[in-house]
Amino acid sequence: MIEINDAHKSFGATQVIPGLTLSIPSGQTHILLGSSGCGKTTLLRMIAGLTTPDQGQVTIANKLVSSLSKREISDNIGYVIQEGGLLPHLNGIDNVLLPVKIRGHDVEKATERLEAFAAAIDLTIPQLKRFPHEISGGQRQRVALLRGLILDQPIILLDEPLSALDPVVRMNLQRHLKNIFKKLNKTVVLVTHDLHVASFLGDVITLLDQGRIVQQGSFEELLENPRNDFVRDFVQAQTPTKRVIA
Amino acid sequence: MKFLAIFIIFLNCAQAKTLKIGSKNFTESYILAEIVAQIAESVGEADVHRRFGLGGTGITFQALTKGEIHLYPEYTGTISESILKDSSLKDYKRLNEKLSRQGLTMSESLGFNNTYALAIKDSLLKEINLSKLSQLNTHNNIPAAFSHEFMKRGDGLVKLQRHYGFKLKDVKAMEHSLAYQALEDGKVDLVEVYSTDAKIEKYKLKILEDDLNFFPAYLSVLLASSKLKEEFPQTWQMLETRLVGKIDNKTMTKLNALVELDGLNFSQAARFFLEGKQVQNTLLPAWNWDRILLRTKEHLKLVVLSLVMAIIIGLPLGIIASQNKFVGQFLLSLNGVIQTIPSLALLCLLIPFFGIGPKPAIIALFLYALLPIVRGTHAGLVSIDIKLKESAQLMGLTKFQRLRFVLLPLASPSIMSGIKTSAIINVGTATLAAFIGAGGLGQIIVTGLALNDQDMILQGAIPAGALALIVHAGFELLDKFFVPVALRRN
Repeated sequence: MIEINDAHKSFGATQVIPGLTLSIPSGQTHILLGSSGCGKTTLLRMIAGLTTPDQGQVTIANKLVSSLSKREISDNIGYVIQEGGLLPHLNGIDNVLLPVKIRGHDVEKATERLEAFAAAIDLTIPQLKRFPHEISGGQRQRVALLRGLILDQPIILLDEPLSALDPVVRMNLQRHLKNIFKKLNKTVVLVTHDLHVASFLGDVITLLDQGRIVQQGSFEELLENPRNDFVRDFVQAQTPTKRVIA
Repeated sequence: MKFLAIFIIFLNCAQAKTLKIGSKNFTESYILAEIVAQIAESVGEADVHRRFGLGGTGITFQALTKGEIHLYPEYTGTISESILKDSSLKDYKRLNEKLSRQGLTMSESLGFNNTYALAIKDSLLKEINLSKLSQLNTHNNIPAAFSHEFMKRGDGLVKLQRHYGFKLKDVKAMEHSLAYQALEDGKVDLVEVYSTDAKIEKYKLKILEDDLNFFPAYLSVLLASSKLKEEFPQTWQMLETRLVGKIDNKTMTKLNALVELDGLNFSQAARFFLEGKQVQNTLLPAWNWDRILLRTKEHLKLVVLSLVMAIIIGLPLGIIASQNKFVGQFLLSLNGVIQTIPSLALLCLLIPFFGIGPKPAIIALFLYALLPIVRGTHAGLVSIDIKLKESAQLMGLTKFQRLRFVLLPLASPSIMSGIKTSAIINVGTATLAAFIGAGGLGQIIVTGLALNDQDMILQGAIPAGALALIVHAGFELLDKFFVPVALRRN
C-alpha cells in the first residue's frame, strides 16, 4: 500500500507537484502516464525517498518514507531508474547480485533466481557476463529489471523500463513482466509516456498533466470515457485509428 | 596525524654519542669539513658522522642551532652579515661573545680569507678597460651572473652597488658553479668568485680590485655548538692546534684545485693537507655503481615513505573534500598553497621541527605529494554521475559500502593518476633532499654541481630519470589491480 497525501514539490520557482493525493493498493500495477515534465518521475522519486515533498506525506505500508532509513526503504522497494543506472565497472551478473552480496544474503539462491528471471526475459548468461557498455540499450534495461527484482521486495518502481526496446521484444517482455508481477503479487508503479505499455500492464492508469491528476481509471475508461479534451487528445494521439476516407 | 606522530618517533630512535660534522655544498666547505672529520676520527673521542653538502647558510646554520650537526666550517663575514646580521661585529672576541648567547662558539681564524670578489675573463681585460670595481660605473651593461646568496645577502650585490655607486643592468641569478659554465660559454662576462676558488686559475679569471674597500673579511673559522667543547674537549683542542692559523690562502686554493682540477676526492685532499704529502689519485671508476646503488636506495626510501603517507592521508582528505563543497574548496586551496612554497624554502621551514636528514625531506615530499592525490580523489568522486550514486543508495548500500563498491572503483582511474603524478614529482623533488643531508640521488648531483663535474651530475640525474620511468611503468601495472577492467583506457 502506497499513499501520497497532498504532496507538493517545487524546484526553485517551478512548481512540479502542486498538491497531489494518490493511493495505490498492494498487488496493483499502477501506471503513471503523461508527457515528459508532467511530474511522474518526481512522484516515483518521492515514493523511493530520493526527493522529499515540500509539503504533505508519502507512506508505504503505513510508514512515513521520511522516517525510514535508506536501507529500510531499499528493503521494501526495488527501483529501476530510467536508463537503468547500471554500474559501469561491474558486469551484468555483478550488477544484479550487488544488492544481495552487500546484505550478506545467500548468493547461490539469488543466482538461481537470477537465472530463472533472465530466461524469462530473454537474457542469456553470456550477455549477463558482459559490462554495461558492451551490451545494447534494451539489454541494459533488462539487466536493470533483474536488479530491481532480485531482492524480491514487495514494491517495484519502474521508470520507462521498456523505452529502449524494439516493438517485438517489448511485446514479449511486457507479457513476461505481467506474469512475474502477478505471480509474485508485487505492488508496481510504472512511469511511462507510452500508452501501449500502460494499457497492457496497468490495472489502473493515472494520467498526469503539470503535476495534477487529470483522470484515473482503467485504459478502457480513459479511452471510452475521457474526462476532458486533454485526455481524449492524449489517448487518440497514440491510438492507431482507421484511416478516414473522405 | 597520529600516523605522522608515530612515524616521527620511529625516526627519532637510534641516537648514539656521535659528533656530527656538517658542510655546505661547495668544494671548500666539503674539504674543510672532511679535514675536521679526519682529525676528530684520529682523536677517537666520538663516533664521527658526516653530514655534508647542506644547502646554503640558512639550512646549515639551522641544522647547527637545532643540534643536528655540532660543527661546520664558516666564514666571519657570513657570521656577521648573514647569521647575526650586524656588520659592526668585526673582531673575534665580539663575534664569539654574541655567538655564545646562542649556545655557539667559533674557533679563531684558520688563516685564509675567502672573501667575495668579482671577476672577469682575463681575455676580456685586454679588450676593455676594466680592472677595478669602481670602473663598473662605465661598464654597467656588462652581462653578469651571481649566486642567489650573493644577490640577497646583506653584504652582497645591493650594498656593493650602493657603495660604488653603479647599477648593473644585466644580472642573472645562477647556481655558483653554473655561473662559471655560463662564463666559459660566453653567456656572461662578470661573475662573483671566492678568493680561494680553484676555478680562478682554471678559467683564467681576473679579480677586479676592490679599490673602495667594500668586501668585508671572510676569515675561515670553525663554527660549533658550545656543547661540542664540553662533550669532546680533546677533539676541540686538537682541531684548534692543528687548524687555527695553519691554512693560508695559497694552501686552500691548492686544496680546492686538487679536488676540482686534479680530480681527487675530498677525503684524499684532506689527507694531503693532514699528512703533507701528495696522495696518489686512485682513479675512481668513471661510474661508481656502489654509490649509485646506495643513493638510489636512499632515494627510493624517501619517495616510497612519503608517498605511502600521502596516500594514507590524502585519500581520506579527498573523500572528505568531495562530500562538502566548502571543506573541499578549503582543503584544495590549502594544498595549493603548500604546493607554491619553493622546495628549498619548505625544507628550511621544516628544520626547526624535524631537524635535518631524511625526516624533514620525507615530510616535505609528503606535503608535495598530497595535492595531486587529494585533487585526483576529489575530482574522481565529484565527477561520478548522480544517477549512479542514487542507484547505490537505492540498492541499500551503506555509506561505507557505497565507497567500497561504487564510488572508489568509479573514481579509481582519477585517484591512480593523482598518485602516479605524486610519485613522479616526488622522484624529481627528492633530489633536493640532499640539501638537508637526506641523501638520495641528489647527493651525487649536489656534489657534482659543487665540483662542476658533469659526469658526476649525470650519475645522479640519469638514475633519477630512469627511476621516474620505472615508477611510471610500475603504476601502469598497478592500474591493473586497482582500476576495474571496464574503466581502463583502451
